[in-house]
Amino acid sequence: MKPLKKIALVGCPNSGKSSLFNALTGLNQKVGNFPGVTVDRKVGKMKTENEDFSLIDLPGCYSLYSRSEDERITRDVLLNPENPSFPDLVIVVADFGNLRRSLSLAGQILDLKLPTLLVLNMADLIEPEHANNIQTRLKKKLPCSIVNTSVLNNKGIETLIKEIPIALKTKPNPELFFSIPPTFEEQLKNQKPYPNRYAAWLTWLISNKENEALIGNELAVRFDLAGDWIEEEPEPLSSNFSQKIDQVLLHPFWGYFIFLAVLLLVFQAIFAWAAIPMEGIDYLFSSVGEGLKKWLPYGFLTGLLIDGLWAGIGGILVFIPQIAFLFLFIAVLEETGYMSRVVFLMDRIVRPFGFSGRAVIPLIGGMACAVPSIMMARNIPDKRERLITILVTPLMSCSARIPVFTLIIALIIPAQSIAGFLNLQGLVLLGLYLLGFFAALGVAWILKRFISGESNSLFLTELPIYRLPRVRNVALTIFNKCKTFVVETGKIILVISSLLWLLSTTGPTGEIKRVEADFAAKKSEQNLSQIELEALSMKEASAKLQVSWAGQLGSFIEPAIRPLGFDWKIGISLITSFAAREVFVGTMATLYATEAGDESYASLRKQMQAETFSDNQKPVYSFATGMALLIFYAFAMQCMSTIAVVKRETASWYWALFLTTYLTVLAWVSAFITFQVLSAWS
Amino acid sequence: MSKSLLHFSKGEKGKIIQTQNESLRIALLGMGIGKNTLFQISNIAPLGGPIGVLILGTKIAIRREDASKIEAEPIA
Repeated sequence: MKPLKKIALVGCPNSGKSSLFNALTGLNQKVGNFPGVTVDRKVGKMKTENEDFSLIDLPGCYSLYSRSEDERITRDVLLNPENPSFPDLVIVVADFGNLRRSLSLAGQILDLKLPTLLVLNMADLIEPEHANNIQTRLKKKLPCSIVNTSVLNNKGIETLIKEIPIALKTKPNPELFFSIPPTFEEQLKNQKPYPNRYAAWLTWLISNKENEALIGNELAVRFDLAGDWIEEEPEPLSSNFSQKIDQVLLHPFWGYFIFLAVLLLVFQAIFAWAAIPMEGIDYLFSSVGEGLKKWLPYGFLTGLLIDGLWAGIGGILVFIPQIAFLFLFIAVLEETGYMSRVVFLMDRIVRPFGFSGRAVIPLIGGMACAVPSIMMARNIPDKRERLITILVTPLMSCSARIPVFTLIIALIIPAQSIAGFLNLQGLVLLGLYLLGFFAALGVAWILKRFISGESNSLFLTELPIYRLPRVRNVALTIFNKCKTFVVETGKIILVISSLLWLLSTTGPTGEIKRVEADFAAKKSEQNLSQIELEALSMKEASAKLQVSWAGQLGSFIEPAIRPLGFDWKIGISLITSFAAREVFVGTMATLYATEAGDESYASLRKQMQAETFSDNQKPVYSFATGMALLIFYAFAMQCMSTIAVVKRETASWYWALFLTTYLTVLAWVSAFITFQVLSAWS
Repeated sequence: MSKSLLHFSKGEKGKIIQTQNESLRIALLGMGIGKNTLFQISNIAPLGGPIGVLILGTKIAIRREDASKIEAEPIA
């Protein structure tokens, strides 16, 4: 089959480019990465009357000279005919809200001699007659098809589609709009051949930092030229409305108050509301798994299938509600234009830590779950800031730490009140949250010094006019994010979870079999009551886990964790809870042969309290060990899904491993200090 | 009399004269702010935060240290 002709969408951010992409392709779109970088590459299929096209949404840019990673991609694609995304037609999306800058960009594209279709979007911002006059004037001056649209109201899209075959045939102007200074022709001769002179000039300019003044001059010329093309500046109508909203949302007091309320709502959604479908998914997967086990023959393959793979898939899908909820809010906040206001409000406050305001929502989201929050960091334009955000978000205390924290706190902190109304256990929990928060800021502050990258001291952010969110755009964002997570991140999670299952169910030759035979003999004894049988089954599970590879590994690492006050049973739980932190509690329950489902883990707590070290007979769960364990879980990278999502979002194993290493070291050292200081002091 | 953008108060209107910093000039031109562009200061974030500058229908947030490098002339 002949490959489809390619059409690229190019335009300034906030020009309605992505909405147009969604309108033209609908569900016929795929999101991937541009090779080697983590910038979304959105490709879709669109139809015209006689032909199908492949439509690619290039990252928004203000000019072809922009320096951010996203914007560089647009330039690279348009300059290089060998690039797999090089288009047969460019659709430049300009908007009536700021026509001059859009037309400066269009001028650059036209000078590249690419067949061009100019879309004047947001026609609803000005009087229809006025919009038509501008279009007529531009048609006289520009060698391309021009269409007025209002994507928001689905207007002009049919006309646009009809114009595509015509636009493909338009001949570019022989002359450049911007005349390259003749003195530079010499320099350009040494360049490898480019499709045309402007491409050669552009490539030469960006190759040298000293050319900044020339770039500035060219853009100034284009800016004036665009002014001449329009002959007048259109007056947008609705800016007054946005102005009034901004007087409240950017207010020095109410602005922050409302932002706090928005944060609270987002947090509530991913923390509490998402819990309901998550429990549903959990229940569904475990009950179907249990049901299947009864039907399938008992054995290794069934175990791998149900407890390894099936449980692994459940472990992936359980993240969907949180991802969906977070991106619902993110998409709405981006679509309405509020997200840029957050940047405006927060920039000064978070800047000392290397963040701009855009990092605030992923960081707060990390208090519910790091996985969707790390995915959200993609919206941060600055590459270095994005990386730092990804690397510190796992420090924020997520919801999976709560079961571990509550179990240990209940074990070592007396349930008493301070000053009559403050619950001591609650205070410790609050302290752990604050610890995670300040650790994230501190680590960001340090990383800022060590991670290189152009520090983008320039801070210009557009605060676009407020718009109602479009359901289609929001729905597509949520759908695409969930799909990406399941497909891309899911693979890694599945491999690790199967591996962990193997570790905890298999062991050195014969060991597991020996335990099974032992218990089979005990169970076959006469006159055992149902309760006694159940107790035996739990003891069997405990014994099996202890002799499994995970159990062996737990004992093996005991010397390394003994200085933290941990015994080998904690060691086993550390290994199994690498899958997810909350697994710690389940593993402990198995090891102590108690029921995990027990409300508030009362029987598990009793068993743990009675536990002593085998060598010195001192209780394991002293105050010092408990505190060390809490601190360890506050920092340690005990979550395979986070590692998988970091690998995907940084496109490298390097950063995923760096994250795991630094968190483990941080956890070990802090727990070591905590245990040593507290045991010396008590 | 021209002065730096930083010294404009909320609601004040003006006209851009120039900026000495080339990367800032490039970034501003990309956003649609060039010589003689008319603007109005519409918001100022507290505690030394950015300044919201209204140009036509678009609003651009500019950090204070960048605003201090932009020269502009007040207009009535």
